[in-house]
Amino acid sequence: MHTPTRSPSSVRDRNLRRLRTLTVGTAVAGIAATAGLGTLAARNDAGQSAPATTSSSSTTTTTPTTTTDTTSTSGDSLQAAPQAATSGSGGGQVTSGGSGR
Amino acid sequence: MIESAIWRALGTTAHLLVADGDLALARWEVDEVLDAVEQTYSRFRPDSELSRLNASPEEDVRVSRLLGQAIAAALRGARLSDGALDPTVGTAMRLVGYGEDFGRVLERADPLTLRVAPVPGWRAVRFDPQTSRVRLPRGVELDLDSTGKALAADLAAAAASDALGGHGALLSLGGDIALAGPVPVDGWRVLVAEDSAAASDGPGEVIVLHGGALATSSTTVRRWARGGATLHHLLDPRTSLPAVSPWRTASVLAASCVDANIAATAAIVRGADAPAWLEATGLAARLVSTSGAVRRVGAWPAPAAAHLQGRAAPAPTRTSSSAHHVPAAPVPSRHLATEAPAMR
Repeated sequence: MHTPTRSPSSVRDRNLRRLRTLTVGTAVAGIAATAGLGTLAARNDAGQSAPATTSSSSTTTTTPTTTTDTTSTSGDSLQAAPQAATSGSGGGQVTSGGSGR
Repeated sequence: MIESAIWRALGTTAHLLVADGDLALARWEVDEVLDAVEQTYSRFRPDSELSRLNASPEEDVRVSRLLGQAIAAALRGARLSDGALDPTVGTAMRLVGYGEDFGRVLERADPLTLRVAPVPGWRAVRFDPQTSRVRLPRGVELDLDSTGKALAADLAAAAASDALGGHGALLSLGGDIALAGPVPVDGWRVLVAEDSAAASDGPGEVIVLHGGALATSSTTVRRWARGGATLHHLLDPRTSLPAVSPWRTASVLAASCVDANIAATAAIVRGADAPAWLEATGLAARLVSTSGAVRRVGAWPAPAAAHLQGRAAPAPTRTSSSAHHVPAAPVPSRHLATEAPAMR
């Protein structure tokens, strides 16, 4: 049966020093990269505040819906529809009813 | 301009409405999702991933993302309904005769031996959503049909809207309705019936959806007879038998089709306390009693005057009282009535 050999303590200490050096180096590089990319992004896209009021003369045929988690596989409560339904007259476009599957 | 397509899928009817864009492409995307669902968590395909999972008790099984979503939705439904829904009804569903495609179920008439006992219970399922690993105890079979169909509707509607470049889509899978994308300014008009096969332009109550989703569960459809007893597919986890409920149909509005389905099915199973439970959830609902009385809960809209056929329309404020009756529908065989223990 093969028994793994343990590294001598000197080898282990050397490896730990290398790991620490690598960790510090990665952290410094990460900070530098974040700062550099952030500066670059700020120059290219300075952003713009939304006006307090807007006006529009265009006519749309649809209204946006509130974004929801459509899969609902998480969450601690059942979520109500973002917009209430209203009563309708005339025929429907589709039917809701029992099916089983 | 609204366009629509109707076809068979997942053992039921798929009805897709699109507000704009390429209907054929949207339908193709819907079919892609539904095919994946069929292959992943159909109970009736021995080669589905779910069937393979059910055949691997006491094993840590890593499941696909889609099956993980379906299991997560079912377990969440069980938790949020206090066990009124329970995905561990798989064995019970087979024992009441619904262990194969429904067309074949209808062909059988020989007697069944029914056993009154609680299902194993959803807490017996070990599922880690982080690692997508599932472990089922021996004797536990998952049935994801209820929330699984609703999840399929949510996912497929979103896929359709994406295919339409973000335009609005409505998808009904056997009457469970999911919306995705912008809603037409006039909303989506839905006939609320007990059978999703009813013609959408036929008589009945119509509501207009401006967002969210709508699901209906009913004991009046998916019924079959064995040995002189009439059964249906909404099982009570406390007894493993078809639920005996004062409500034969429940329709619920929610943010997603999964949530609407959870609440609609739970309302049937919970029975008498369903209105109070639904009120507590804040969901709008419409319940039809076994006698045909309609009870509206929460923000469910009062019916249009035209639907009441000359009767005075109720005040627009929310009412939970019975507004009218709908035609009688068959009700579960009373001989299945049992005194159910408290919900687990």
